[in-house]
Amino acid sequence: MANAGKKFFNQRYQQLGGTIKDVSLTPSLRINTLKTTAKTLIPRLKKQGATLTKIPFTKHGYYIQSEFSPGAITEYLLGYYYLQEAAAQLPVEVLNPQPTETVLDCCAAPGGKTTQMAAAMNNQSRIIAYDLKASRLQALLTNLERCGITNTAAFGGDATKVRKLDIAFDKVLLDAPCSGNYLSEPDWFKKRNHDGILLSSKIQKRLLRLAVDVLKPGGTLVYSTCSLEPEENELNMDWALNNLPVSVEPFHLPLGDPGITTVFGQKLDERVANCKRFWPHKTNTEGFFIAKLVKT
Amino acid sequence: MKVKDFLKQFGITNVPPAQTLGDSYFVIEDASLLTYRPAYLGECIGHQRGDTFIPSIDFLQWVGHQAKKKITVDEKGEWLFTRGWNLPGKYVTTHTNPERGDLVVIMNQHNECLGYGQLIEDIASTKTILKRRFDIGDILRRDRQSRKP
Repeated sequence: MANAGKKFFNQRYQQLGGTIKDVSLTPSLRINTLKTTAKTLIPRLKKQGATLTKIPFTKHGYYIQSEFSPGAITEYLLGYYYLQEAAAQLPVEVLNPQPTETVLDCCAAPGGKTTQMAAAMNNQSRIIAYDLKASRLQALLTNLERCGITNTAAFGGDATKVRKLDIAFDKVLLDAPCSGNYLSEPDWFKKRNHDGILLSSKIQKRLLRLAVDVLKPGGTLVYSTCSLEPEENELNMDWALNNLPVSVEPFHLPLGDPGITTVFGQKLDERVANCKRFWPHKTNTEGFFIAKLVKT
Repeated sequence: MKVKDFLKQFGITNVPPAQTLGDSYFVIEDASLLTYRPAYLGECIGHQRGDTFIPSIDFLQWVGHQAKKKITVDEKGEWLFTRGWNLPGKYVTTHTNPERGDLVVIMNQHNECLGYGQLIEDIASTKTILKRRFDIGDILRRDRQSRKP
């Protein structure tokens, strides 16, 4: 196929200043501060033979090296931590939800970012969480329960149903459904093609419009994907700047490249450079993209 | 079995005001969203599985600290119990003198509740003394079940 395969994607990435390189990701977790502290958990896991090393660019993230499965021990079952990839911990840190704010999580399952937001909000105020797929919703419910979340209302179904609630949100997290990246699943290059990416982009635009609609003026929306494809990232942000009442704002993170402002010859709004793009070979994380939008 | 009956087995009479959402029980302070039929709202205290009430992880901790009849196990006993095994007496480190037939909660060395079971032998026996009824590993088994196509 002309619009698929490793060669096709590698050519695209090279035009964008990237490349394909196998990166071995160290398993990572985030300590659930609703239930424990680093001071308590680290020695407890060390006694069992696990070494935790702080992820320097996260608040509560640690790389874990252990001979046992970190997803099957008592501390995990009791919700003391959540297994969450390093880059995936960053959208919530950029959103920075506060205990007084009302927050929407558009595509919440399996709940890593929802539980992270609830912890940041100290289980106060309210998170409204949606997920479309029934099987994924069950994973979300289980993780909410395990992590002791009490400030979240979770709903099954399309996030567009949130309009019925008639809530103006202070903040929205849109961790959009996306095509993923070559580190996120085996045989990614065989499974994905350009048509699928365009379809994802269409869905993402629909969700972006919804997210901005239900956001208060001056409210913050963080948009993220684990995709490296510009159609799901920079091109969507350029579209948002041209079609929605938003600005794309700068934010500080010690890693990631600026969003690309010239994509396959197309010149985008300069503010797209305020986004962050994570090439795995540079950040040693999964492929990722984060943008911070403010409703005008 | 409802929440009240579940707690009665442990001699607990203080029953939280739970509401049901689907097969799950929640303590809900702000009921304003109930009309939109959430799947999760407020504090989850457990689930109905057939005729059996299954406590949530946090509700189990509350039950564990309220219950009078307890067994504390060592790390090996904790490992076995949370993987669904019945409990041999040699892993018990302390207990509150429960008798054969009693329903007892199982605590680990950190005073965390791992589940509960029925004493089927004298507590001093080295044989299998406890038939497991529920353990916190249930949450993993539930998760795996939900992922099946």
